[in-house]
Amino acid sequence: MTGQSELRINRRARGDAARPLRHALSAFMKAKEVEPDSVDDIVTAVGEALANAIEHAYSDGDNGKVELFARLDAGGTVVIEVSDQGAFIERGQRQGRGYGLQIVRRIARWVSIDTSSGTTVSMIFDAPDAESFRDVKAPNLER
Amino acid sequence: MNPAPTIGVIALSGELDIGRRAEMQEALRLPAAHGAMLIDLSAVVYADSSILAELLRFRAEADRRQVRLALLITSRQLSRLVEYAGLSEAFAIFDARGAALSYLGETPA
Amino acid sequence: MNRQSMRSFALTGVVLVLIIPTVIAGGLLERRYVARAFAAAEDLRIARTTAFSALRFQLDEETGIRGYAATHDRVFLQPYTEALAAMGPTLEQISDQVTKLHTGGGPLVSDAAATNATWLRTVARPLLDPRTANLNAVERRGKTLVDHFRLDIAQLDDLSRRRQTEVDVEAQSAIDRIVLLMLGTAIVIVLIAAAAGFQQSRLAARLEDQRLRAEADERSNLQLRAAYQTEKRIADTLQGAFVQRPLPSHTTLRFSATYVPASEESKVGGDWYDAVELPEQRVLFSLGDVEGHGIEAAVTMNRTRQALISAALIELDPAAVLARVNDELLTDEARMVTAVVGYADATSYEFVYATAGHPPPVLLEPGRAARLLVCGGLPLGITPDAVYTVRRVQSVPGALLVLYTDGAVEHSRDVLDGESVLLAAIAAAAAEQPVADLAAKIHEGIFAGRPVGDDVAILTIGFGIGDLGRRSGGAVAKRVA
Repeated sequence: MTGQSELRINRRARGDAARPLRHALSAFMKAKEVEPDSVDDIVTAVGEALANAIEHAYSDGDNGKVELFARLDAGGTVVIEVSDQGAFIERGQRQGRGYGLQIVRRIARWVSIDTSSGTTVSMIFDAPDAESFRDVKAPNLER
Repeated sequence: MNPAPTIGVIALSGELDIGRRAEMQEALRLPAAHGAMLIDLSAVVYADSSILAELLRFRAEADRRQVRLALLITSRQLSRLVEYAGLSEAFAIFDARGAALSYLGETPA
Repeated sequence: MNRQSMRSFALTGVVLVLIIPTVIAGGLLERRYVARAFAAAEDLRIARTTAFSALRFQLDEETGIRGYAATHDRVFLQPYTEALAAMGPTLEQISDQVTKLHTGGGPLVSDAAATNATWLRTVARPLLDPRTANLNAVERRGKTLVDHFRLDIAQLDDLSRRRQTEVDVEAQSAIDRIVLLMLGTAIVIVLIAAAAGFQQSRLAARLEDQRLRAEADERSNLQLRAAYQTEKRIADTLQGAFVQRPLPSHTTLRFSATYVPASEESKVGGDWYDAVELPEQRVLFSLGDVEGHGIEAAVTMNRTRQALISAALIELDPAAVLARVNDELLTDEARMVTAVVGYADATSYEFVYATAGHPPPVLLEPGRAARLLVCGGLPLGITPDAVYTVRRVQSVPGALLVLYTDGAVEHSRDVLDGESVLLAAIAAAAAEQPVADLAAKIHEGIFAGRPVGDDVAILTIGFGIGDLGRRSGGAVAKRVA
């Protein structure tokens, strides 16, 4: 991996939008030689954020866009933001009672939900390449 | 006298995400006939928490009707999803069909 | 055995395999020379003896004949007869010897034999014959012939002696060559031994070198360990200094804080809080959380705090402060830091703040429910492209701003639950009178004796002297700036 790489892709917020966005992210990371187990975990987490965005955007009746942005840096860290322009919702409602954000918190090093303008779920993951994988600790399942 | 319990099988495959929520709900309905159910997810390559919500709903119904339940999961992504959600102990999960069936007790219908 | 040793052993082997047979062969060859030389010397000795016995026989013959000639006594004929009998074979023997020994005396032997034959014919026979007259002339002729014979023998002896000298010289040379060969072999062996010795000493030197290097490694390990101990002490000291930095005692702004590390043994951790008085009635406040635990997190934490305070002296904008700190932390590869930084204005009840991936601050204003303020921004130390946004809040006397690290909300099943517990604890603590040790009370309200999973830091900033306890209704005294 050299330098920084970015992916920015969006779709209309419908149920079938999650799949192409996940595949694009997976392909992006595999092309950058991110270690496969990490790719799986990151796609799982981002898949939850996407499902969350789509669910709330769709339920509002407002099929705005859901956007996925990923920035992978040379040090093996990736910042991913999933944003939608859904109508302002109380942060509490957004997190809901589902497992989605719990799963994201287990996998990501850091998660934040910004509801100041639409909703943006920002996440930071370790994305090691195959050689440095052995130095990365396993996700913290005890938290 | 109760008839010998038979095992019903519901199989799902592919990528089970929010887009297929309705399909999951439709598929995960508890039939009346069986005393035990095997949910075969061995052909699932990706799943998000939608399936977890549906499985929990299904389990609640199965518990209510005292139907034994087992999940067959072979995908690494799906088993990690279950772990991350903290639901590893919430279901009887197997990675081999034979083991799942012997847990459920009888030969399938 | 390494390759070097094997090579020199092989070389030594080859050299020995070549030298030893050569030395043996050479030795055997020379030994043959010497043996032959000794044999030849012996033969020459015998040849000389034989030559002298021939001369003795000739003299015996002469003596016998002259005695008989003078006395006609037959007893004088006995030595003559005996010598006569022996002379023939002796001369043949001498002839063989000079041939075998290459003395070059062949002609002399023939001449001696001829002389003896002539003497027998022309001297012995006449003297034996009684009819012979003029005996003196015969005897005189006999004497001449015997002298001639004697001369032959003497010359033969000279030749033998010369040959003997040659043989001696040859033998000596052969011996010299053997000695030389032995010397040479000895020298080669000494050289091989020296080479082997040299090799051994090189090996010994290399082992010594390795030993020294191992010692050096051991020393550097000890140094590293010592450095680690020092670092730990520094970290402890820093953490001690951190805990002891006093909060400003201000007329209008009231501070309280608490820091509870995750475990007893790790008294150092990555969480911090700071409140520093600045000119013109402003106070800089910050609170943050370095990823991880223990000493390394504490070290990064101190770096971050220092960078933050330095930046705050330059920048008036908290977002710019975070940007500077972010730049500084980008060099620290592994660690991520979340933080809130801001300035509170004691006279205007206004504060500005910016967040870097940190949980939202809580604002409790009289007459309103506690609420979470807007947060955002990426954590520090992740990417140079991070953007921080300054938020401005105009608050009122009696307001309470609470900053905390995520340990305060991530203790329960989900963050939402954690947040509501926090808000309730803040409201409850603020309602107590008097308002003292607010942060500790909030901590108690959250955990109520439950085990703390993560480090928790809480900083509270109270604005003005208003009554925080009245949450619903009530006129709020407006302060005129």
